[in-house]
Amino acid sequence: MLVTIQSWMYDMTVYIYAISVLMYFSDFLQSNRRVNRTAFWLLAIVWILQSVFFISQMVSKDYFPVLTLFETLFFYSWIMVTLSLVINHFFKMDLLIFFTNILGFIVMAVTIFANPAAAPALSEQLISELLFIHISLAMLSYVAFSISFILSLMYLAQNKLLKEKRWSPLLRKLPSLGLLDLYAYRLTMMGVPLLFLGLILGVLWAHVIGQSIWLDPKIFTSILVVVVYCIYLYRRISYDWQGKKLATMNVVAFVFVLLNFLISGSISSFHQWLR
Amino acid sequence: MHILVIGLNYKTAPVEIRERFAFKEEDMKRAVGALRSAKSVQECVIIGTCNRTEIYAVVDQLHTGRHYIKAFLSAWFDIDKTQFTDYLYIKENDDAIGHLFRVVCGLDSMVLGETQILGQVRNSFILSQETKATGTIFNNLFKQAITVAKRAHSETDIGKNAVSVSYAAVELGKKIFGYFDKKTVVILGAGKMGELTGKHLQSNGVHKVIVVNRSLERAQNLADQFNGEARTFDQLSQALIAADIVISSTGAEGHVVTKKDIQAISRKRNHRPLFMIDIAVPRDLDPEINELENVFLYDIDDLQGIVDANLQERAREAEKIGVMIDEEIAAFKAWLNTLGVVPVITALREKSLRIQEEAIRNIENKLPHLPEKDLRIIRKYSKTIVNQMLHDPLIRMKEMAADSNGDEGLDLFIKIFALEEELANQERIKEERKKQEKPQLDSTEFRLPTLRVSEATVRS
Repeated sequence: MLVTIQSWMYDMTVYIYAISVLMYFSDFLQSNRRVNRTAFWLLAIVWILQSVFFISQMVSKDYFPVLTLFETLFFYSWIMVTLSLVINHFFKMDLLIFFTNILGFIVMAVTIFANPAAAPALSEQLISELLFIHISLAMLSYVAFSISFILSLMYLAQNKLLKEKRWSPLLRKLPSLGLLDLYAYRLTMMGVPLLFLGLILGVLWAHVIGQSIWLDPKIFTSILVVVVYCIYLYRRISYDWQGKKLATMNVVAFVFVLLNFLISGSISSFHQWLR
Repeated sequence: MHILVIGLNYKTAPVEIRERFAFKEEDMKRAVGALRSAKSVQECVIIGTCNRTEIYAVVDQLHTGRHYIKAFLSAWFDIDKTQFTDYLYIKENDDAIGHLFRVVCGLDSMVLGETQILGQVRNSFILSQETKATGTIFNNLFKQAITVAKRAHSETDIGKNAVSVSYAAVELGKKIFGYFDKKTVVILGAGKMGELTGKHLQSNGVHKVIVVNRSLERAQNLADQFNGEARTFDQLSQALIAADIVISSTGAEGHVVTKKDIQAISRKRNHRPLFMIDIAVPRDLDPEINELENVFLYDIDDLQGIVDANLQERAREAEKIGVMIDEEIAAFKAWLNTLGVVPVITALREKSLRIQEEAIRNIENKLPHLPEKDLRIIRKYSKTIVNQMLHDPLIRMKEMAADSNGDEGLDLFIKIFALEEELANQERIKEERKKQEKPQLDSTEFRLPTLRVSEATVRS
């Protein structure tokens, strides 16, 4: 019974999410405040449905549901929606919400193909608090990097339009370069320590259960991601690079995040449960 | 009863004519009073700005209204009618309502979508209201017009983007930096244009202004206006290192700043974004500077391009407002139609009340033995019958009146219930009351029609 309600609610969420994103798209093409407002409220409903779904999963599965591929992706899209609502409340960046939710929706749609009933590939004894914190921290950092990536893409688009002096409707809607740069930087500043902490906890956990960490490529790619973002932060703080170069670097860095995430599902011997 | 607008604006009349038809601020009250006492005019509002003089009036007949308003203009400004008739536009009823809505939304303004006109219309209306020159119709129409304009500005982007070169520069600056605090502006050359743009930037919160000029004295003069610093061209590169925004308007022949100059100081500037505005002709800033990363160079043509694009955008937004206005005209007309319902409701109420009272009197005469308590119950229920009988017809009548051919429906209604006599009666009472309270003007004698049917019920 609960499972049917859950799957029904899940489908509803996807549909409403799709409508909301479409409405944001229509507002993006042809500015219309009424459509924008409706899209926002639909997004708020999506958030409520997602939250309820998440909690009901937590209750029925009896653990913080971030272990299977389905669960992690769902968790990711839930944070994306949460953050975009928060951003809308404070900064009113319609375009950012639109792009964030395109990403959020894609991920949410991908979860349809993952098995929601998949059991964690770990035996009960191995699941500990440490593991949950490790995964949630990693997911949070991924979200921070994702939004930072979107901001940098917007920066590059706007930079191009300003250079070419094309005063288009898109340019009018984009937030200023200064803000895009600042928020991309702040989000990365949050993402790096989150991922770093997640890494440390992961290593600790591996140590606790007696698993060797040297066999898992995911650990090395994660370290690589942290290093790339550290270079980005260093370049910015030391004023070596500014503006366009930094934004480009941020975009490239996100490619590493994506690679890292994909690797976990395929060649990692250790992070196998993300399937 | 008709609504009429007679006026002239920057499109129909040259400035030599417009200036002769400008109402003086201090004479406005007197003018409104004079116009109100003109024949045929029942309500009036005069709108006078530097771009337009318009008279809005409620008149009982169109052609007499037109005639007396023109006569008023001719007398007030002491100009013969034949001299100005060609410059006038006259709009009636729906067109007049639509015109008012367009004017107040800024769609009829020289700068499309400007908001100043909204305040001017509101002031004119308030002035007329204070001099008791407005009644039910204009009180409603102008309030609606002001609401429409506010909605137009909040729901569309018509007034959002800059339509002058110096504001376009400010807008661009905002696009690049987001905020101006902690930003430094360097003005090259002590020209007028640089000064104007500098002022706009400063009022938008720029932190510091540095003026660089060939003669230090003139630089100092301009810098004093901004509480800024003055430099000569020898110190140009120091100034550029401090700069976030550069406005150049020198009269120099060649390029004052070249690509190499900027490249040389880029490291010292920590590669901060730099926004350069070249409003000089011939140009001061080497166009190749724009190739540098994080440097945005705009010349006067580029800024003009932005202004043009923004004007096009405003025209697009104006179309959206046009649709809004059409809806509002329909809403106002529906309201206007229901105005005619009020006397009919009163008539019907009076008539049914009389019938009911007569019936009660008959009962009292024929059944004198009934105690007061029983009579009260009979009275109460006979009123209930009347009220319930009338409830649906009144609702239907109001709906019918709001339709486009509401008058026909209303006539039919009057015929069916045979209210002609009662209506004439009402009219007479009104006339008498008017005579008694001569000093009190129209504003009180119309009752605002309500759309609540309860008003029409017979009160016990």
